[in-house]
Amino acid sequence: MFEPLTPTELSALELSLKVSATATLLCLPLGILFGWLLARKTFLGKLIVEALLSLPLVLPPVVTGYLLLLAFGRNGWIGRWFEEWWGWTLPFHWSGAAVAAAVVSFPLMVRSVKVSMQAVDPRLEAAARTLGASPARVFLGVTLPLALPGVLAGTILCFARSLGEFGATILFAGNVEGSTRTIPLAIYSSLQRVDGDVAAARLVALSVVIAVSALALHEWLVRRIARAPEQT
Amino acid sequence: MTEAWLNVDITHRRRSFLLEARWEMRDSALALFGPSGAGKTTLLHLIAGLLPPDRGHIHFRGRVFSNPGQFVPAHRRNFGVVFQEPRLFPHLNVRRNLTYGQPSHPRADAPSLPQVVDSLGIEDLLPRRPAQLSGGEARLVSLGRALLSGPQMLLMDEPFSGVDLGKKRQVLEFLRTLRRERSLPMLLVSHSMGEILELTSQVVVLERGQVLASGDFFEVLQAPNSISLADRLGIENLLHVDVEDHRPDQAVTGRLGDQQVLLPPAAEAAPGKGWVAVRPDDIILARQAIEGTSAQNRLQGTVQGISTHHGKFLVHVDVGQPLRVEVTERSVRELSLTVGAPVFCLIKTFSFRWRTIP
Repeated sequence: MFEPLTPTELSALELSLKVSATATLLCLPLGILFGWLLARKTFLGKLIVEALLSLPLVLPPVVTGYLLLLAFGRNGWIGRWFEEWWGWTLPFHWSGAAVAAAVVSFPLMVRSVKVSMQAVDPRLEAAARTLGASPARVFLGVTLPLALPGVLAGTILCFARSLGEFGATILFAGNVEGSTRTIPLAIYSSLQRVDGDVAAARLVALSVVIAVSALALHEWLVRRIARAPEQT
Repeated sequence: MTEAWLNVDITHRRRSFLLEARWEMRDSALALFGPSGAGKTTLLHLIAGLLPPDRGHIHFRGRVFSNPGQFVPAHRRNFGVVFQEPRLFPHLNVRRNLTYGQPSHPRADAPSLPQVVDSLGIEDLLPRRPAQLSGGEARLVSLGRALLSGPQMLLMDEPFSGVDLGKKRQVLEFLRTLRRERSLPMLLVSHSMGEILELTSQVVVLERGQVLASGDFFEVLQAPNSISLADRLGIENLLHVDVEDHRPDQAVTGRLGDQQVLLPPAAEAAPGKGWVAVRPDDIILARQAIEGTSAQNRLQGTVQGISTHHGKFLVHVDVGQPLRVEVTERSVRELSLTVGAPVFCLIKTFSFRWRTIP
């Protein structure tokens, strides 16, 4: 059981990391933008936007995957344009798995960013404005650094959720070894086989290791921020 | 007519609170004075550009800052604001807080970091985090930060609460220097007349969102309705005295009309005229001229009226100038204090405090 990773496992691991990292990188800027909008701005239809952003959190992932397929599939109303213009199709490609993971994890990122930005005292931002700081400088120099622990927590959460993504991925991106079979899908595939118990157990152990490492990294980063040495 | 520094004519409503203010700042220092809840802070935020007024305009040295359909945001106004709370950035140390608003090319006459740090006496605090500062220290850093942003005007909201007396003197001296030598205009919000008079005698008196009076404080006080104004604002008596004899470290002899007064030693009181303050509850009223007390001053006068204010009885005595004396209801009865009654006001020398005005 404790042999080095087999090529199949290695491929699943690489794919999982690639898909989750891509999903997180997609979510991070958008999550910061929407988290800030929801925390600081009032606009028409804010409640609807908020509900829509939370939807993937409460929908069964299979439903999310199906909706993605309707929209981004070869004959989907967006997917058709994608293929026509760029010759790019998401389903059955690792980028499809990344999009599925991103959509499902996005609410976690947005919520985490929103809550941490709401906790930033707006009076500090007002003080920064009176000191001549433009809105962009206030955001980058005051709001974002003060919300950083929450942004970081959201990032780790998003990454972890992406690693575990199964339902939306299998429906939207399929289960193709080497291109969309991430660790959860590989576990599922192993269990489909009569002799797959050991293979599944090894993959389960692997996901536990990754998840614990992600949490440890998060903890370490949060502590580093808390006692960041001040550059003068 | 000289151009006003600041020209304010605005209306601002927040739920049931209506703020209506219309005044001009003609001197380079002006104070907004009034009890808490009068709208002083709101007015300061409107001037700073942190709130848009519902109606009206704000002009600074002829430039439009707020007008219908025109609003210069706070970060383009270049006003240094010292808020009621220090509002230091918790993720930056004191040094980086101080330099946060420093322009990359400061004006030649702008005070430098070492100058500000030295004048405020905050060298030791530079590497610290805001969480490691006392309330008074944080306030000084906040003032330093505003000064280093190279402001065209300084707006200060109760900047001295929590600052110890020695520090306060030092900072006031620094502010007076800035005003004098760099002609930095300043607007001070305070509910302490003593603090205000250290910087300016130009005041706008606010109460419940309305301007009660504006102009020179001493003229405002001597206006016909001034006694009720003083009562309502709970401020101390201010007396105008002629200084007769003044030697260092010795009690000063002075005259209040034709009555002699003995005043505490004063560093700055030059022969001539001066203002002294005395609190209404630091004065003893007597119907007879009592001898053999430690109170060196015995001012003779007549009762002009008695008013109650928040359960306190204030006897208004004319000693050549209006003087308010706080007494109990029982004293009013036992001394038969009625309008026209002759009385003596007993005041200890050290109950008087000098008010120097630059």
